[in-house]
Amino acid sequence: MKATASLTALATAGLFLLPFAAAAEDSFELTDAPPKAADTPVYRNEVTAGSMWQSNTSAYFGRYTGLEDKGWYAIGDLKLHAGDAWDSGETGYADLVGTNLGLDSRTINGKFGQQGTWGITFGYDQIPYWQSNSFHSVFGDGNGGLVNGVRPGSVDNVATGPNSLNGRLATYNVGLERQIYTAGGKYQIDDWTVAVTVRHEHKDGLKENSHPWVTNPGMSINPATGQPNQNITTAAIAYFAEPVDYDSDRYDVSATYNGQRVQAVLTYVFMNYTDNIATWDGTNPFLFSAATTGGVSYSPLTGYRYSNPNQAASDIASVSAATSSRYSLPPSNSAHQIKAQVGYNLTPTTRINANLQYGLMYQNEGYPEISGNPNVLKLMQGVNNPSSLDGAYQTAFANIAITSRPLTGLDLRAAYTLDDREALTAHNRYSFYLNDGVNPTNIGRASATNLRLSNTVNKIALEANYRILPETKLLLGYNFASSHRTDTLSGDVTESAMTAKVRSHLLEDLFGTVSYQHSDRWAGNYNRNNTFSVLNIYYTPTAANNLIAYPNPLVPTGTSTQQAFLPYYGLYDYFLSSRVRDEFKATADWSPLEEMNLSIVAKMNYDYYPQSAQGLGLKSNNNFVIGPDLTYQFSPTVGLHAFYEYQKIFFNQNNLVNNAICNANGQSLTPPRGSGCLQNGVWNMRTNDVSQTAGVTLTWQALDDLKVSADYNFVYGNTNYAFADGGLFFVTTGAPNANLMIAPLPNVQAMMNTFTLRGEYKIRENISLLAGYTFEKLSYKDYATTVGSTQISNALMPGDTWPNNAVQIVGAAISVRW
Amino acid sequence: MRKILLLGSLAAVLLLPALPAWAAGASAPEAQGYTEGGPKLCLGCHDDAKVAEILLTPHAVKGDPHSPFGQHGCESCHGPAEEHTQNRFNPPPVVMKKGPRQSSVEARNEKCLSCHQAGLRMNWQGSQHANNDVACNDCHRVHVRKDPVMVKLTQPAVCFTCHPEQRADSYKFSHHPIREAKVVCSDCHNPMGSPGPKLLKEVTVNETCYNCHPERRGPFLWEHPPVRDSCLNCHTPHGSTQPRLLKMRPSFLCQECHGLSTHQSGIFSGAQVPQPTPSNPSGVRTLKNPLTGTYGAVTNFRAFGRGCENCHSNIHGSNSPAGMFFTR
Repeated sequence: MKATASLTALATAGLFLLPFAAAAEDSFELTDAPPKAADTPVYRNEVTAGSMWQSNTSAYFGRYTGLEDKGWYAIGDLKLHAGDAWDSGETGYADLVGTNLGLDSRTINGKFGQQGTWGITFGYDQIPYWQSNSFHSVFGDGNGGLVNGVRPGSVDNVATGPNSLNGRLATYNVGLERQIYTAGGKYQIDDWTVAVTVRHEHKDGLKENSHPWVTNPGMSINPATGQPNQNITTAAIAYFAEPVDYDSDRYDVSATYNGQRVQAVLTYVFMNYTDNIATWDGTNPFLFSAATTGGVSYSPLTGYRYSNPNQAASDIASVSAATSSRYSLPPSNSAHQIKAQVGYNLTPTTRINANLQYGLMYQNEGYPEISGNPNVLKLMQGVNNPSSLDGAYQTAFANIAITSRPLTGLDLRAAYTLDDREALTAHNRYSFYLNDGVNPTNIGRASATNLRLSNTVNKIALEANYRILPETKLLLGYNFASSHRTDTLSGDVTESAMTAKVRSHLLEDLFGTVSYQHSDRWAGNYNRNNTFSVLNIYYTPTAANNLIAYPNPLVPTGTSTQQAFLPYYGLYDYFLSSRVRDEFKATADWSPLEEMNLSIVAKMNYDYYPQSAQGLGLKSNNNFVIGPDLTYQFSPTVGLHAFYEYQKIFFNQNNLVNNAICNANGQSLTPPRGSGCLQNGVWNMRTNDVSQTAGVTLTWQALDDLKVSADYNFVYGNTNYAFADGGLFFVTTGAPNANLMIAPLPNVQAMMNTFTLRGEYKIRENISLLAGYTFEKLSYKDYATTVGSTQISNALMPGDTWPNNAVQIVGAAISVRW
Repeated sequence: MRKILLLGSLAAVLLLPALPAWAAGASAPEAQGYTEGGPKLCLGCHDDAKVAEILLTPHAVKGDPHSPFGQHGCESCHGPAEEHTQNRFNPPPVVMKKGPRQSSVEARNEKCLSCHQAGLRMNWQGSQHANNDVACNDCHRVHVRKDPVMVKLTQPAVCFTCHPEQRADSYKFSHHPIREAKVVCSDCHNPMGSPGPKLLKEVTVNETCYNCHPERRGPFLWEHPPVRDSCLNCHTPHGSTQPRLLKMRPSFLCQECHGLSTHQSGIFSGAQVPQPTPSNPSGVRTLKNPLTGTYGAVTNFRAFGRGCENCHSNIHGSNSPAGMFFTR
């Protein structure tokens, strides 16, 4: 046990020491013959101090550990205890535990009190999150000012395009840190306990984000040359380091009654989130073309004309050079919850539970200005948008369950659950300009109405668990859920599921389970355009936007044009559409020897979406997992633990081919849907996401005073993207255009090898020398982060280098116990 | 009303067969046969360090009447042992230790629940773990001064024993800091029973996530329906090969629901990704046309970085009146 304590303490000192803990816990089982209690000294206090050295800098390696830089780190842990002896009749105790004290991931927890009467707890937890140490931005860290002399409105596609900014972008570290303070107290009288806990968290730092500057589509002509300008004509993005600075608090007050027949908990929770920064204002670096749209209003994002009656010609206005854009950060909010839980043992074998909860979520922070551009704001004069949301959700939850064992070996359960979320926020129509970072151009005012996403779910669950044979149990279950939602594309969804599971000791040393579940979800009132209707956004299907040439196969012939083409100006939300799901799981657990256990788990589920299978969206997906786990105690001094896991995740989905670009470039497409730009077609994409994980841990009590352990982990992930029919679309006329071509995507791959060697040598009974070594190598390939920060037209990307690393850590510490 | 009647009927069906058992249980006399020697008598024979370590735990505080040692000592959990003391081969009523004499799951759990029924254990009966015959001491170790499942550093290893998929997820490129011991299973789950889904501590997925991500709570002026519905529509919380714990990579993830117009339905295939060429092995600013074999510049930033979220970066919801498309 002394070894356990010291090893555990060191283990918390850093990533390379983490696996110590498992070894330490295992060590308790390694002893040859149990040592006599009287011969074993008891130490309740321990301090560990030392140092470790890291060979390389890696944001990924230090993501959550604080070990992001190469160099020296301190190891510091402590465990202190004071308290009354077990048989003294007194109940006082005090504990203080500190881990990772030398790192940015340090934790301190303490408690004191009199057991059975009162207790106080307190804690501090620091959690780093390193995102990148090679982030590039045209903006300063945490602000929207341009760096290194980059002028506003100067970046176009050629002469001073993104490529011209090579070497001029700022490069800095991006990461966050949480600091969490907790405190609590409880007081106990007989069967009653009253408790209060308070949690305060401060989070700050930078995180990667991006923002678009958008103008109208259209190509401007340089009157001097008669050639198109090289200015940016539609949209451009730039990555920026979003400043994060918030505080959140949570207060829990509870009263618990713990009787033999009745148990109850009444809890009030208040949560408050305060964002100390409301907006990020970024200076526009891009040079946009003036659009030549002839006074016709187009959606700046889609290029499609709104048939919005509120969008009048007078809304089209000329705006002078913009200087900045305003980006809203998460608004401050608060929430209240009242919870009541009651459990009543009706009989020794029958119990009723009731879980009730009522909650309110509020958000009423003043809206930020819609733009940082004073000329855009000028256009908003006379527009009476509300100044804040006055937003609220009211939630109600009720769960009542009865469990009973009417016969030996038969367990029954019935439960009813109501989960309700009601939006109390007012419906308002908001007018706004989507653009603000543009050069002189025509921009149109848009308007829309906010969504109110209410949701009511009713569920019933029935289960019977019966021991059909002395060593075999059969579980049968049935679940039914009915939900009603507002402002989404499927108002009513029902789902029923049936489950069967057999658990059995097949042999004396072999235990196995097999389970199967089938569920059927049905989406009623499935209106793909409903969300946009609530928003008051209407797109008119026209030949120009290619929305009329591909009839919806799910709508009968003769249906009005508007309905017939809903799928293509609406949504096909997979999470609300009809679905058939089959799940299968099998486990086997084999213990032929007292020292050996081998288990294997296999699981597969398959989802099929009939409403999108013949159209667009997610058609099907499945997930397959299998893996063995072996524990073997070779001898009293040598133990092994090994595992392997194979997982394959598969998605199969369809979408429309992008014919507007085809039109714009005077090109045509080949089958399957026929040639010509007006013939929309379907493209198909299948994602295969395979991961393999393996690990081996070997522990060896080499000498009475020396223990060694080695640990190796291997992780491999490979994602493959396969594009297929629907059809391969080839450009047959006109210039090649990437938007119309299909070519394989490079696989995304990650492979990590980690090896750790640890040792503990007991110098004296109460002093140990601890030493450890870790080597970790990560290889990562991702096409999405291939591009440099200034490589793509119209975009200033983050240019993060792949987080490949090869990091070594070596460390040593002394642990003293008393 | 129909639901109430249905529930009432179900309750009656379940309760009636149980009434005789209740009556029998109610009239049963309290078990006798406790020894007078207390823990010291037990430790006289069971005197190895592994057993005696319980003296360092809250269960062994004699001054606390709620503690087992404040009642009948070892026998509070293992049952009256008078017969056992007279014949060592006659085991006590409740044997926790694994082996041929181990008591049934029901018997072991009943002992623990006789004191620990309230609080987090309120919904134990009928929970997933209860239905799978998980005993309290399958996960908990009562005789050690620090129960591994109660320590952040060692808790995941206990859970991974039966949940290897989650262990594999925790090793993936994108993961919650479970391996780093900054987040543990019990931060989100209550393994001892929950009225919500997947044994979550809170009654819904989103309320669980808001505990650490309160900036997502809103409400927002412009809400994204799948976000308000469930974080799991886009994220897989235990680990992912994709960045930010996403189930799939944007833009393909977004295209599971969106295909409205030109840019939403774009084929962001390899035709838009820089490919290494003999003259440009780094693949910078080159695009190979698979038909012609020629190369051109990369033009579409939607295939890179965060895909759709390059522009729609406030995808969890926006509070700007101009943020309807989550671009600000």
